[in-house]
Amino acid sequence: MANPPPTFPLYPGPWSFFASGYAVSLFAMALLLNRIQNIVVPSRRSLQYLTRSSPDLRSHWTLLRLISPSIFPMDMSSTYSRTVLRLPTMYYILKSLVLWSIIFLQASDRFPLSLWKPLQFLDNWAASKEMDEVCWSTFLAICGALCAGALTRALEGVGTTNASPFNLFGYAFMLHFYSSPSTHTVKPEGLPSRPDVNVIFTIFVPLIQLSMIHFIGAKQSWSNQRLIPTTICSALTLIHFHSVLWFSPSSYPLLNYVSCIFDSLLLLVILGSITRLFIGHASSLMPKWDEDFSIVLLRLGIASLEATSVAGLGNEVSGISLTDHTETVKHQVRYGEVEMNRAGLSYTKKGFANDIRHVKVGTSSQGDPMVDVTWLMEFRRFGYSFARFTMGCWRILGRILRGQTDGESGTSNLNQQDIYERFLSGEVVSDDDEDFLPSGDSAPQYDDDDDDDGTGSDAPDDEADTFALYNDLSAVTTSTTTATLLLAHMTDTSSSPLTRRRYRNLVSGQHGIVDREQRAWEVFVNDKRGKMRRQDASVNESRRNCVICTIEERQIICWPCRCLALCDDCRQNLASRLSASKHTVHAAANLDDLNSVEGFSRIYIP
Amino acid sequence: MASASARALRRIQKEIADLNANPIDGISYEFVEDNLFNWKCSIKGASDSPYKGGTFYFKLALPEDFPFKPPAVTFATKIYHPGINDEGSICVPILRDQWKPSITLATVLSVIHEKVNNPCTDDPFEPEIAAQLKNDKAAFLTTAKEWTKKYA
Repeated sequence: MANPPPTFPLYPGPWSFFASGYAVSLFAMALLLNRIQNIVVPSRRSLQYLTRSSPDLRSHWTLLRLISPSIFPMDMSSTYSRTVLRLPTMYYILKSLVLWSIIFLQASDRFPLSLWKPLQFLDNWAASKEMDEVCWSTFLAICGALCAGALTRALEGVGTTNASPFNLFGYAFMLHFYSSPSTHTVKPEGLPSRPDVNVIFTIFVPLIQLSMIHFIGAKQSWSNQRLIPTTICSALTLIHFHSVLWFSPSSYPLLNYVSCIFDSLLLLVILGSITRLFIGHASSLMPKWDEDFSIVLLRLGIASLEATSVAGLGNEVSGISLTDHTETVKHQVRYGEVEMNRAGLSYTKKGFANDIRHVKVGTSSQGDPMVDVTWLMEFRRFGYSFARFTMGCWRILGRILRGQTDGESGTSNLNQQDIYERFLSGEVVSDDDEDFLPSGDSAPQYDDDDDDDGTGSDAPDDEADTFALYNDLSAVTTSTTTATLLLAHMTDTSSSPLTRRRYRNLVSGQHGIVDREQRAWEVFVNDKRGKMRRQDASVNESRRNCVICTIEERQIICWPCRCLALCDDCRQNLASRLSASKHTVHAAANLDDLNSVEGFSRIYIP
Repeated sequence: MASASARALRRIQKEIADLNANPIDGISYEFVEDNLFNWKCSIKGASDSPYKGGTFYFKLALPEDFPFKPPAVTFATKIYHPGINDEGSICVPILRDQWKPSITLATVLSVIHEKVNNPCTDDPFEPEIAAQLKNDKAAFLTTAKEWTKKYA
């Protein structure tokens, strides 16, 4: 195949690339690799299946395995056969590697090989090579190496997860571009011209990477360990890029500029978010041995962007600080409405009475973009309050007309009416109606004793106290029926109301029976309650714990759906796994809430 | 960090406790080499299904980041079923795109149980078997029983 003409005066453009031998052989390579992958036997799937599941075929297969070495005496996966298969391509790769390293040394002028006698012939040999010849032989060596790698993989039937180990297209374009003398800056007398030293380095580094991968591929268990070579080479490239960019007057080759900037940005993102990234769930994100460095970089970069993003499950609404913005323009609404964002919270009512039914979560302080809706809602509120105001006015007016106003507001209205009715029914009405006690003549008031309720002390002790107190008092006071009844009520301090039976027991002095009955009843109740509690314990625990890990307590409440289902760790994990638009409680838990989560708060269950 | 898989392990232990407390009828399980991430389960064909009398083994492999990734189920015993293919993969939506971290293994096992014992033409993995079930149910039942006798 013909090389591009060396006398071409202009910079080689993309069109000349497509007309060159590089593009033609790229096309051929694509075809070849595809064919190797698809038609080279053994087909991995059928064999694996045969060995696994059908018993009658399995025996055939073991037989086949027994006789196969005598038919085809070569184990494809042994290091020896792999090395033999790779030997020719290894030679060519090594040759171009040596060539490029000498060219690099020559161009950098740091280590003059000519000083060292035995290597002088190498120096001369490399210096006399034309650039386009060097590039073309390198390209062919790389193609050969890739084919050999694909062939060994296919022969073993190993699933090729990352079949393309190398950006061949980009590399071919680079080689083509710099093989033309018009791009060269170094033009020595009598020798072929060379590109800039930085250019040579950018071509050299991927070649190192490829040869490393090719060489360690000779051993099957190492063939997928791509992380180390790619990391070394990418690090070299990045260091070189930054040293040229910041410390060197010469410019970095344009073809690699963008990818280097991209990689640097990703690194910056990862380093910037390293504290957030490495909490808890980093193991799933850690680089694996068979991954390319650039893929790892991209994956980690995206994950750290997601982990530090302030949307969805990553958007923690900030703490609620009760400051003095009491002068709210909003009118009183039926339910509280809070608006939460990262700056804080604005609210309309305070306290536990403020049942928040509607939570607006925003990342910015701007309100609803639908202006009409808010206007309508405000108008509705205004109408509602106006109606209430008119009603109130009308009521006051009516009261004035009836002559019953004493300047009190509407809240004590009911109370007043109550007192008025009692007054009509002939009761004595005192001013301090809270501690109202009727005198001895009036009818017994069962209600009054309820104030003594809820002391929470043990019932049997109370019972005994009550009995003793009653005995003491009844011994002193003159006995009329109403008086004893009243006395019984006044001395009764147990939590349950004084029933007829208990009153009879109290009067007749049968304290022990009550006691025993009461005890039996309580034992029964406690027994029953304990059983219920034990039964509920497991249910309670599963209701209290995070739905994902089922170990930690639920700590995260999601806005605006108010689902309390996750613990913080699982939230963090989810936040770094999914993009914010997919953050729904539905995605995490088995709930039918399809609303997307716009923010969350940590809650604390003391 | 090891904490992720340790958490997965604790959740799995909890699930096992749940499964022991409320066992699923017709399903038994054991662990391969005491590895809680690697289950070897078996399912008994229900008496009203064509798989009656057969015991079908399947492997349940839990990934390292378990609650976030679904377990992988592979049938080791050959079964003539529209939802289970030649390689032993079973087509259950909750093991694929509808997986949620809160789905328990008890749910997974009972869904598999349900799916195996009620072969239906919904989301088929073997279109030919599904077509046969639709058009010629008798032939399907015969083959299924035959395979059950032969392999399970």
